[in-house]
Amino acid sequence: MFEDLWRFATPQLGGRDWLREMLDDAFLDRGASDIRAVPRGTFPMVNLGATDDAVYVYVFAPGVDPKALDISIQDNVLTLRGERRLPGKGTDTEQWPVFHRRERMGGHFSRVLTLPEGVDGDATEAFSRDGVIQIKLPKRAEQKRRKIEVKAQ
Amino acid sequence: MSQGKNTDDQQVATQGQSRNVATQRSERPLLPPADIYEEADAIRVVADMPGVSKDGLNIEVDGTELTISGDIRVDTPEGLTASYAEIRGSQYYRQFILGREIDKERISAEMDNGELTVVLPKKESHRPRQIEVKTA
Repeated sequence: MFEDLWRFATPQLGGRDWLREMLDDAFLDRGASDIRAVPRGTFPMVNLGATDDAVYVYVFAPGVDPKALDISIQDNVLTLRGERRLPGKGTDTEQWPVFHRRERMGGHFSRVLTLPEGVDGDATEAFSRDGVIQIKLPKRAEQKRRKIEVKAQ
Repeated sequence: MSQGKNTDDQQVATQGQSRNVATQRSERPLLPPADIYEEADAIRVVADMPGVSKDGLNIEVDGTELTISGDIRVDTPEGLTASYAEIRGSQYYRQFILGREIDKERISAEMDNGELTVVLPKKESHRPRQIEVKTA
């Protein structure tokens, strides 16, 4: 009858990632990594991409009010700050609900990303859909791809 | 997360009208992290599924199996080359086994900013009753 109690002693990820943790431990990259690199699964998760004209950042922030997300850029360093509220007790007098599983992270978060050099912070725009915030950072003119014409003599 | 918000809920497909999710899985889907908690009259499942719209979401109940799946759609401009990705995949997929006390006909779901909430109401007969302790 007490087999069930093991789940109360598990860490935040609820044992979901034990295999990954074991593998990470066994095959941990002891080499140098980027100073701003974060472990996998850090909230919010981020994808980066680029076109000829702009750098795109996709922030996967489910359950975060996009208006409450603070996005700032200085040079090529992008900072994301916000808060995610998870279900819990509403008021002080209310009881905590019984949790069977808690795999999601809550509370205040901030993430700092290094972007490629030469993005134009002033022309940056962001929009949100379905919990994904797309940030478009146009490249400065000198960083854009140029076509070089070959002159014939 | 009030009851009132559930009016424009995603319809939960029951066994008869279900799509076969298995055939759509060409790659390994992502496992959405979930919180599950118990309330007096229902069990709530809250899962992170960013990039899934209301239309891309699919919730099925087959017997005692609850299947949650969703297609990840992110608008990407023409000619985008990915340089770094923490989310790789095009679908979320996760299954749970329901207890007999869940009223399958009244399951409802809501999608808000990539956060899915599924409410699994308990049958009337399984709601908690206060047990009075009698003194001798």
